[in-house]
Amino acid sequence: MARPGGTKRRTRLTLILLILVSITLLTLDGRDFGPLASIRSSVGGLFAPVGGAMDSATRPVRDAWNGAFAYDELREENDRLAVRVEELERGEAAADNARRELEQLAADLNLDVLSSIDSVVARVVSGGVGNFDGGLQIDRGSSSGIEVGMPVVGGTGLVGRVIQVSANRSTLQLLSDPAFSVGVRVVGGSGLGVVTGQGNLVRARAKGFDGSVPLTEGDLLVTSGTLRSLFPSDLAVGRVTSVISDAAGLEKEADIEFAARFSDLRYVTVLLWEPPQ
Amino acid sequence: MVTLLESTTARLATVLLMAAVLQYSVLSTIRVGGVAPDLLLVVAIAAGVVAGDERGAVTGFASGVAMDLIMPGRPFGLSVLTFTLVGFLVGRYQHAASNRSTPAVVLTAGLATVLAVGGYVSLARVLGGVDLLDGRFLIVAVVSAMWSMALVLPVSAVIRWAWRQPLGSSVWSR
Repeated sequence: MARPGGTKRRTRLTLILLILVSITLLTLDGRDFGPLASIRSSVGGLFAPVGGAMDSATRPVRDAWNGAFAYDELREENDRLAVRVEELERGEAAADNARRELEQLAADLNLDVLSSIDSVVARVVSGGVGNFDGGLQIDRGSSSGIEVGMPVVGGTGLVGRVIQVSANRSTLQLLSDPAFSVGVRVVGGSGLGVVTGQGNLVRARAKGFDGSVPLTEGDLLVTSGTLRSLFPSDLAVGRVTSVISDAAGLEKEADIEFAARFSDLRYVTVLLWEPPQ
Repeated sequence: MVTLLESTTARLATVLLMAAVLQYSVLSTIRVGGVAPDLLLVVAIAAGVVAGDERGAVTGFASGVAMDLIMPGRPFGLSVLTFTLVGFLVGRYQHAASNRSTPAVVLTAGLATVLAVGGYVSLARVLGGVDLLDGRFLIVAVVSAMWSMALVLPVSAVIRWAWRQPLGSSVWSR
């Protein structure tokens, strides 16, 4: 069916206009345009209570869905958690002892330790809204002292950081997100590198280590906490599983397995820590 | 309220608001293989199917804005641009296609979703500087397409109401 030329022209003009507006929005966002972030945050705040109410109302349906489609996964997870609880109970005494020694040592050396940072424990209420946002939502927000940028840990390691806050809900960007980077150092060593998410909830790659840095399989990488770092030092990020050197031996990269177990996240701890200005 | 809903803009806004609330609260938690339905994308596709390219683009733009507003972890504008283009292309394709049967519409929704996922990932890399191309890409594209194929017919009915598109007048007719 042929369309009149006027309609065609109008359609083309509308499309071009919409594309230009889209690109303008992208550009403004890329330049951290304040009002855009405020609008997003306000919408997040408006949706949070609706999300909470719908979450409660639809829980039976979702439980039934998960029971029907994720029964095997849930059973495996249950078995895995039971084993993990046993492991943790065994390690609890040793960890307690190690913590006391660390605190004593830190006090002797006049160092801050993580236990001195105030924190808020929050429940993970949902995953991301879409399929590519790589985020999580938790049931604590600004009313609990949480602010954008605060680091989040989960059990054994760094989970991510807060990227949006409303009164009673916050959105986290996970360490596995391709847009997430964190400076790391090798425990017991001096090498500095950067871990960037790859969309994988188990693995990532650490890059930028100097070729002379001793880096071996099994090494633990922790947040570097260098000047102006977005994270406090010594949060476990991951363990090295393999090391790759470039041909000239100038730089090293390492595949790492995250210290945090993203598949088991039910509760996380938000560290009420702000990077030094 | 009834008077208000006589306006096409108000109807569209209502549909988009409901879709955003559903996406945010319910659909994001119902996942198969870790992939949730993308209702706001289906709204854009359905608008292209039911109301043609121009309205498809306009609806895609609005649903993209809604998606970007509720999804804080990504550059604002990525969904807007992707959904606008997808709404337009689906409308253009539906207008030109000789086969406008229901199975063809369902298939179009699936293909448009694969296109949208690919487009989103590509635009994220080129314009947003975010590399989302990982091992999950194929799974997300395929499962999202299946979700869209399941949702496109009921959503089309709602979009028909919003755009006041009587059955038979749209580019999709049985």
